[in-house]
Amino acid sequence: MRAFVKPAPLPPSAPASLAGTSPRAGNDVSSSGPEGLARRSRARRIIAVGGGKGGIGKSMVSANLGVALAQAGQKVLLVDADLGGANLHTCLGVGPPEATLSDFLRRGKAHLEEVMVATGVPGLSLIAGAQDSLDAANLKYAQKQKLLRTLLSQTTADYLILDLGAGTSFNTLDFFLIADHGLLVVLPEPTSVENAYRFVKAAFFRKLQQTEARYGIQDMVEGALSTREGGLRTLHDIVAQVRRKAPSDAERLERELAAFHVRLVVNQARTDADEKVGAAMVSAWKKFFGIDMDDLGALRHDDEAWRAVRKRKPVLLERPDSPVSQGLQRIAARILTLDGLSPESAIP
Amino acid sequence: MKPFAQQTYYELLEVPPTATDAEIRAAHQRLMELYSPDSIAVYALGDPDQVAALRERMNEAMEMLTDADLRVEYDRSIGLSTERLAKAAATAEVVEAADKVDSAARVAEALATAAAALAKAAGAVDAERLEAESRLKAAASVNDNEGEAPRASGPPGKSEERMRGEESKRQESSGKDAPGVPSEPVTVGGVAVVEAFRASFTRSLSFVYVPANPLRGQGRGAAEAPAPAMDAKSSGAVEAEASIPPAAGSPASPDRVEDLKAPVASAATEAPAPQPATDTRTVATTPVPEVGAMPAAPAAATPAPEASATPVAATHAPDTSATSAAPEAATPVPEAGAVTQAPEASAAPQAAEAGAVAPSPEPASEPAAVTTAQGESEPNPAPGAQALDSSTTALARTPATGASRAAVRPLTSRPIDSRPPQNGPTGPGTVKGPTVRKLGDAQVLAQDSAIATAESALAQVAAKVREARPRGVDIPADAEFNGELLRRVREARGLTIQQLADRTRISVRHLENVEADRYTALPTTVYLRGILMNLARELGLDPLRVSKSYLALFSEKPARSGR
Repeated sequence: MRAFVKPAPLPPSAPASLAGTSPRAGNDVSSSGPEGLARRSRARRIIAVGGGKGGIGKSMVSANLGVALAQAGQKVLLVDADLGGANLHTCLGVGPPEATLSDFLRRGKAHLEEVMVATGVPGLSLIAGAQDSLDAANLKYAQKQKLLRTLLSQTTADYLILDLGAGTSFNTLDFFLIADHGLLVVLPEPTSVENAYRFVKAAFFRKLQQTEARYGIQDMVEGALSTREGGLRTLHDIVAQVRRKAPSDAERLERELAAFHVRLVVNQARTDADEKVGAAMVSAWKKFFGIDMDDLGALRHDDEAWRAVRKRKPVLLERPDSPVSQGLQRIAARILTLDGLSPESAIP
Repeated sequence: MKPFAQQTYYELLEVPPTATDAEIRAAHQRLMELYSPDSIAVYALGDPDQVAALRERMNEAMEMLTDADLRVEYDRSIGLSTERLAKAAATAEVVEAADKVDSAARVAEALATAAAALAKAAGAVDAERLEAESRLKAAASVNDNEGEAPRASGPPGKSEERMRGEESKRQESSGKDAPGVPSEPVTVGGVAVVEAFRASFTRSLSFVYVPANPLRGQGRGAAEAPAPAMDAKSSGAVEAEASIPPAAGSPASPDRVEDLKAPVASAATEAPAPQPATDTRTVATTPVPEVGAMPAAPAAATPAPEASATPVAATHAPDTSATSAAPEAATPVPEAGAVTQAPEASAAPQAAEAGAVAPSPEPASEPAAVTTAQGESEPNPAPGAQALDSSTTALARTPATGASRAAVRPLTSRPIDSRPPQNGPTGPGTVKGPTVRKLGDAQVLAQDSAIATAESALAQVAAKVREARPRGVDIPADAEFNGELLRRVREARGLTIQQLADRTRISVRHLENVEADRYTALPTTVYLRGILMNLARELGLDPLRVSKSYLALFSEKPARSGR
């Protein structure tokens, strides 16, 4: 499609993707081009939904957020990037998809559009995860680069939502890092919180790895990744180290780290105290790492959500008035507001 | 973006520097809940040790910030007060001073805080303050003229040292002061010098300056100090300075401000001109409103030790002042400190923020008390006792103008005091001459001792403050890190060998051998270096320094003993 014929322009706000991610540079033309005029000139946003631990509702959040944003008039493309355990299509009530991401990655499908599937919700399309090949989870580097590049150059959607898998593999982290909004789903329980912190730490170090060459901090990052503590002091240490060499670089690095926004979503909050866990985590994270996270709000534990999954329907469509649906709407509105698209005015 | 270990108490508690006690306590409670060991939100965020350390620091922060005195001291230490003062000064029109103002204000703040701390330390402050005030009032007329010159003199020196941030200003002032300080004029000038200092101070800083001035004066005195006389001068100056501020403050806040400004402006000019003897005199002539205080100071200079002590007390807590005044001298310091502290703390802040205004009320009431206190205090004061007092007072003064005034009076001691005031009114010049000479001889020694005492008092205060915070051992820059020192550092951190071993994963045996300097039982250099670096890191020491130092010993000893 158009994206390929003519590489889509990257919005200025495009995330600092992986180093050397590529050729997106070339086209400034984009938004001002004829095609750009056709559609509203609005920055495309990528939302990545991760969380480290499995079973915490990443796919549920992704699917329903997609629905909510689509309902708000945005063109949304959901991408199931949980390569080894894709089930976003199930959450949306889409049957086993005819084309999947692996078709795009391994077969001859050159365009992402060719593997898109309609979801039945206006404005919301889906790229289902690979589920046919047993080694789908083990994305090769070149494949990953291709996918990242393609995702970043997507212009057909206003929002790209990446549903990530559990764990902190580089594949997962890299998808998380290209996002404008890194949504971190957390349950108010120690296991989930533990994994969430681990996930964010890993993400930041992955980010450092990508930029280390510019700052001459390879050794430090390597050391930090290999030691048990992983990075508590080391994130500061690294900045301090860079500062010793070049204060301006340190500032840039700090800005870069701070520019990456992690946004918390507390899922399955059963008590009022649970709803505050998000804010507490933001505060604690800031205290220990000096980096701001953002608490997008909590989703109440709601049997309706569970029932909806059993019915293979997004709870937002199934039970729009349930507490969890309202929470999802709030989060969607929050994201729209963050992007300068007020929920009301965002009607196409 | 900085680790919490480097965050200020305000950042730690996530409150603005202007937060009230209640806000601080509320924030503390909230955070203690958030960081409680069973809090989900911090689970696996950091090592349990880190969370424990964070909680500890938060407790520390809460205690420090909810104690008025400690908070003032802390604010100063992080340069907060400076900003506030600067702002206050700016608002107060300090602006006139313009370029100088900012730096001056900062210096002044620093000095003020330091002074406040000292004052607190010395309970006597209050009593002194009263005296100072009374004297100030008496001298006020006189002082106005003289004020500036005296300030320049020494007492400030010590305080200055503490207030490093202000150094630049101090330097300026010191330069100015130097001339005045050096010669006998000191005594005479006790007043004169003080005035000069004050003048310089005032010029550079407004109210804030006043306190600062004493400090500077001291510092300068010390620097100049070439001779004992210098010290005497400095002490006198300090007193004078102290007195000055009070005078200015007591009259009216507005007045003070003006005074300050005026002095500031004049200070620059004056500073240079005044040479030791002449300076004092000149100062006297120059008279600023504050000057009144200065005259007293000179007089005080002779009596310095005693007088100073009393002044300190006087400065802040009027109520206590009477009582404290008597005991005030050296002994009182700790006790008095307790008493005065509360008052002072408040006073200091006021001085810093309100500057002129706050002081005024106190002075009025104090005068009476002050006089009595002075009477009580012995003019002859033993050098030691006096010195202490003076030092304390000096400090106290710095913080609060009232205090400074008090100090001045004490210095003069009764005889002197009475004279100075008289002289002051009649003519600055006359007064200065007599006092200076008289005081000069006797006082030089007394002042020296006073300085010493002041320093010790400062040290005490500093130690006190330090105690409040969980800190390690003070390690001199050239310390040799032998096993003994490492053991002391470890104990200062409240760690057992076992705990240290757990944290560093260095075996208990090695740690014991390191601490016992059993070189032959230790592994070879390569491993030992690793052990030392880890150990030092855990103890918060500089790993490189420790390993280098220890390894130097390690390599020496066996060779020497030849085994």
